Amino acid sequence: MPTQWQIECLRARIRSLDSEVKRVKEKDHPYPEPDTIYRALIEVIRSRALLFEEAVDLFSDPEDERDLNASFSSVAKDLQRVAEEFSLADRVDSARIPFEILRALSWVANSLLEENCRTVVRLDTVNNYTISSCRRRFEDLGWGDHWESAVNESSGQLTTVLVLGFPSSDANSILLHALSAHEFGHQIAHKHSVELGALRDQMVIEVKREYNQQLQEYVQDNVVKRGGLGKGDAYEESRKLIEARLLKLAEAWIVEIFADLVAARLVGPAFLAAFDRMLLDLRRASPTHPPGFLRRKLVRAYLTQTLAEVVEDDAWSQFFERHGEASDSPGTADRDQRDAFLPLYPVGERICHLSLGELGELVAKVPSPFDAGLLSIVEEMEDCINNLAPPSIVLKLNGEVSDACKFWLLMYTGWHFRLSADKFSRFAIRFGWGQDLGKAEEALGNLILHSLQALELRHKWEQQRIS
Amino acid sequence: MPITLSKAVADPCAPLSWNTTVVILALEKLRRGKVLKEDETNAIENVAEQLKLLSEASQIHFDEFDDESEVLPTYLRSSFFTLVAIESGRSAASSPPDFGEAGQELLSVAKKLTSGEPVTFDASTLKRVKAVCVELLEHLNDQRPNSSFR
Repeated sequence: MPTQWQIECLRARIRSLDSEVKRVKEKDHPYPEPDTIYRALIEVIRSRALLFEEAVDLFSDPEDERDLNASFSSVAKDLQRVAEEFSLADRVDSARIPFEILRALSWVANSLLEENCRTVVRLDTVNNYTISSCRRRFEDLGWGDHWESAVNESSGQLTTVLVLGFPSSDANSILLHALSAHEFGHQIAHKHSVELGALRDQMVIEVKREYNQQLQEYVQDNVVKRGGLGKGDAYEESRKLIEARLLKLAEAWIVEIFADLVAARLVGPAFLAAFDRMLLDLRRASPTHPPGFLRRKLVRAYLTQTLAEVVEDDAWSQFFERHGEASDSPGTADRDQRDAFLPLYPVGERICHLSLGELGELVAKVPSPFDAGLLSIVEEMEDCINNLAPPSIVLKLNGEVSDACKFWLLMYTGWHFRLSADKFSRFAIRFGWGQDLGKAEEALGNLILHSLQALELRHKWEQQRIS
Repeated sequence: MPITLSKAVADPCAPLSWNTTVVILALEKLRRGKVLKEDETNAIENVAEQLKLLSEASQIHFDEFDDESEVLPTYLRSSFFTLVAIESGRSAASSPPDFGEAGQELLSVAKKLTSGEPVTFDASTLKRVKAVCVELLEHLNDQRPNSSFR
């Protein structure tokens, strides 16, 4: 039974979390969207507080110790989740943050995901890039009703708030936002969950047959002998555990490759260039993410099939060549031997290879700037950059949904220019940055940022004009 | 999902944990003759369904890896994962809870509640079902992540 002291501690936790969310909600901020998140969180806290007080009241008898204990832990864990979600939406205000990109990101998200979203920003303490849909996160946690009522209370039109997180150390790096293409891929994957689920099942059947012997050995190695459990039951238990691990890994890895291919359709290999800034060890695999070398290899294979013109381009072929040495599987010997999923990584790699064709067909519906023949104006845009003019001026807009493709073309162009070594060095020297390529990249990022912002405004203007 | 491995925690058991907690309180209220709110009745229906799925998931047997018929039905996936985690976290001496029977009993409680007629409940049934729900909640709490990533 939780002691009176523990009960008081939880009450204090509820009170402090509630007042902290309310305090931050009242603070000034550049945009109002986090209010919806705070409102929903306050609702969640309120419901947990009510239930907790009811539990304390109903289970006051020492006989009900287990009931109160279990309810106490459940509420405490929910409060931890609230604190985590709150930290994702924590208000940030720093001169280094390019708030200007948020409107443009919301615009392309609306067009890609076909829902009314707004993007807000947070700085990550770890080296990572994320875009999370609050609606989905709340639904996953079983707080969908609270989200709905918070949305209805605010504007009623908004369906989700996208929380963009990027490393604090790279707060002013605009080119890094090419990674948003991958993150939006995850949101699109959610819409294809049925097809991706079917593909996962099909792949799991295939690899189980192909890796039959290795999987049997893995099951055998994981048998835990426990008192009261027969040999057959222990084997069955281990068999189920490995099955669950395989299914989870297959699902996570297939979705990652799907998101990579979506990104490849939107910005070509540019997201891989941004990815290199985040991921230092291309050989590291995890139960949720395939190793970087494999992702690079599969994206290259996909682009070779669908966008040969891009892969053969000097800047990109040099980019792929530079990382050629990292494109082989490290094998299990080089990997963390304590990782329980280790024997499954080669199986996962096989699943990714086998899935590539079908995933390519699935992502074909994602609108791509390359399909629209826009590649031909990249050179013209680079001329603008070379003269410190925003590259968006050469883009024609018509006020239609397809305008959003130009956002991705700008990202692509920014990276293409950055990776065209001669062109970029000349640019740096010409404007006085010399060997300081970091400064030159910042200037390039600013040109892209202004272009993205201008693009969104011009799109709105065109929309109004035609209506 | 972030671009690389993240320290952010996933908590797939959260919705079932919450509903089970609501049900534990609701069963106690019924035992004391109190009237339930709509969300409590909904939670009873939801947990009854989940117990049925857990029971179905526990019937699954796998043989060899090369058997093509071995595909886990989509509707059983999350229950299967929950069950596997419960089994691997179970202590040596304990036997798994009988989710099937508790699910049936909880479903009949839900049916009576939604029938619109005045009903009475057998106190021992309520106590038995509550005990299974508490055991389930203890397992779910064990599976839920503790640490915060910030």
